[in-house]
Amino acid sequence: MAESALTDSALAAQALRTRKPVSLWQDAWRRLLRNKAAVAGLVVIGFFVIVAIFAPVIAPHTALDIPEARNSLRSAAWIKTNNPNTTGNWKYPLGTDSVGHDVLSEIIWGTRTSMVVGIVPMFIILTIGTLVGLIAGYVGGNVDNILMRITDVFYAFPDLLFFIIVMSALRDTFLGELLNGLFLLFAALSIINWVGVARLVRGQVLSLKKRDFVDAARVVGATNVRIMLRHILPNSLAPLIVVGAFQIPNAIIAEAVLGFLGLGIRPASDPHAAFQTSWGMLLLWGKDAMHSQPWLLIGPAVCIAIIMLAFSFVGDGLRDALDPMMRGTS
Amino acid sequence: MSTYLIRRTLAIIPTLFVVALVTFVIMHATPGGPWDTDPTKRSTEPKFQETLNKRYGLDKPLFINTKAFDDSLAKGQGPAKAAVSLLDAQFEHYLWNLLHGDMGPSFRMRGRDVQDVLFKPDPGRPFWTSRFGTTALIGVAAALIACLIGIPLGIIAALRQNTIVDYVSLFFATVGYGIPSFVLGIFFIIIFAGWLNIVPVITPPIWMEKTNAPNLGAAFLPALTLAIPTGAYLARLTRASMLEVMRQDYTRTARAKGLPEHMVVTKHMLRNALIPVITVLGPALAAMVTGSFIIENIFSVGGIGRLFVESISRRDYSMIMGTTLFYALLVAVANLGVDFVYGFLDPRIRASQ
Repeated sequence: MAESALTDSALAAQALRTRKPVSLWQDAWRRLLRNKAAVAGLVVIGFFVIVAIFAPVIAPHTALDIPEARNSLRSAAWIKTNNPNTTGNWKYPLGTDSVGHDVLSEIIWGTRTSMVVGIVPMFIILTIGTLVGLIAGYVGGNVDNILMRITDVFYAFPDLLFFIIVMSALRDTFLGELLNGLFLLFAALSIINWVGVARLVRGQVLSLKKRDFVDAARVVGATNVRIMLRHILPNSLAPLIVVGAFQIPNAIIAEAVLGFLGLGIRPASDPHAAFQTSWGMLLLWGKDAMHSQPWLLIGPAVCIAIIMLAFSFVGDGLRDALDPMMRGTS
Repeated sequence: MSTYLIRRTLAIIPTLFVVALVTFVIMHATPGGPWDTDPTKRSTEPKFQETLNKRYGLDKPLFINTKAFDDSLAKGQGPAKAAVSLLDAQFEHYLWNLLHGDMGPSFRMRGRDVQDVLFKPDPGRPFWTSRFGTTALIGVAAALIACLIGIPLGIIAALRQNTIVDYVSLFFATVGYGIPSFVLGIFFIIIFAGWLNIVPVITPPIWMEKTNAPNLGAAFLPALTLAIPTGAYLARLTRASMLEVMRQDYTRTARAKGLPEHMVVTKHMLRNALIPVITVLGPALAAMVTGSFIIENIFSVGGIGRLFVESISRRDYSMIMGTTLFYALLVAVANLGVDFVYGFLDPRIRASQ
């Protein structure tokens, strides 16, 4: 064997020549792609994102269309009855609801709302939480004390109770009507959830700011802002990404619960509106028409379940990939 | 250690104060009041409204009563007394009464106080049939189910690592953990009420009319729904923790000195493996508490969670305050419990504080 003749150091040198050095992020990405569950989750999420973006093209109707008269509570396409008004028809694959909307189209349009509710507050939360955490951890002293007492307060508020109170209280005000109520939903979700991120970043900063590379940066004359943004922040990105990934499903489920209680987004009246319905709203209507139109319940519930699982797989995968030390601990 | 715990216990007070303040502010920023009559939005007669406002103290300002302050000064009372009269406002009155165990009269259930609605059963029935008892029954049952299924499942999976038993239980744990109880509840409604038609959509009363015993058939589905995600989480955690302990030297030592396998598992592995599991029970319980009010609304169970959602749409100010504070207290106590248990279980933490 030729290889056995090589010494260890020669082997290492050969490995260096044949394999390009990889960055930490490339390494993490490779580890993520080796995780089958995480890849499956990514594919599912990609599918839902595409459905959300191209909802107007994919959905046979809009969520507000009433394509024909006397078309309410039609059964799913494969269920045939004697009544021509309610028998299954492939024009409406999952049937129609009590008003005559196509259920499949409603579910497809609902994907949009869920996706945007998951993603937009996540960015707000990460931005606010990172800023507060960086400042609290870096400045320290009284600033840190005050900021952390504020986070204590938000931490203690049972989050869903807060969402419900805010959504029901401000629903009929100007704020509640912005963007069909989406604005208020973003605000409510962000106000509570930035706290966890702030605490996480603060902890990271506290442990990082005593490290040598921060001292080195200061010695060469870097400003405080530069040290925070260029040296400390990039080193605490990994846990931030994991927290962000778990933030999205939390927001999606919160929207569904609020919609189910009748406190989610407002039903749109404009057929050109970008966000016409939501899964939570469909669940609320579906519960009343469970026997005549079960798909109004089954469709959104299955979608939510699948997307929750997908995000939970990706979140776990990201945690394992970014921090190999933590693998298998939970 | 004890000063730490006392500090943590006292920290509940400012927390509850802020929860009360925030709820109060948002509630009063809400358009519409308790005297509006839905759905026509026809308001009650002005004169009648005035009387009601007076009786419930709604004629006073929200936080600071400057009018009483001016009056007091005009009457020639000292500045100290005048300063006190500044506090003659709704929020301060509420807090003062709350300190005396009085959560105020409900605005919509005429003639009943909030604490009565929460904690008092129908006349002639035992305490546990109250709204609180109903919520507590579902919660306790769910916690028991979660522990009794989750922990043994995790132990068995770890002991039979990389066998079909392990894979199957890990699969169910992963799926159960990933799907929130809200969605599970919807699935159970579809399956049991929609397809199989064996349970009604609206759960029958949780407490039997005559015997006052729990109606286990009615309580089972809500409790199971609430229990599954937590149980799955406990199973995953127990499995990981057991696998960790199996690799430790003291486990090998126990085997090496010839202890029978069941002794190794119960005396040496379990005792150490369960520490992290017990410490997450607090947050898990808190999550169940807040989860319970969604479950109550899905299954139409007459507990405190349902009361909360109903009182929101009715603008029943005192009831909203009461139920929110109650839930906040439950969550705070559940989280506090962890710190206590943690201190007792792990001597290292006890020593460091």
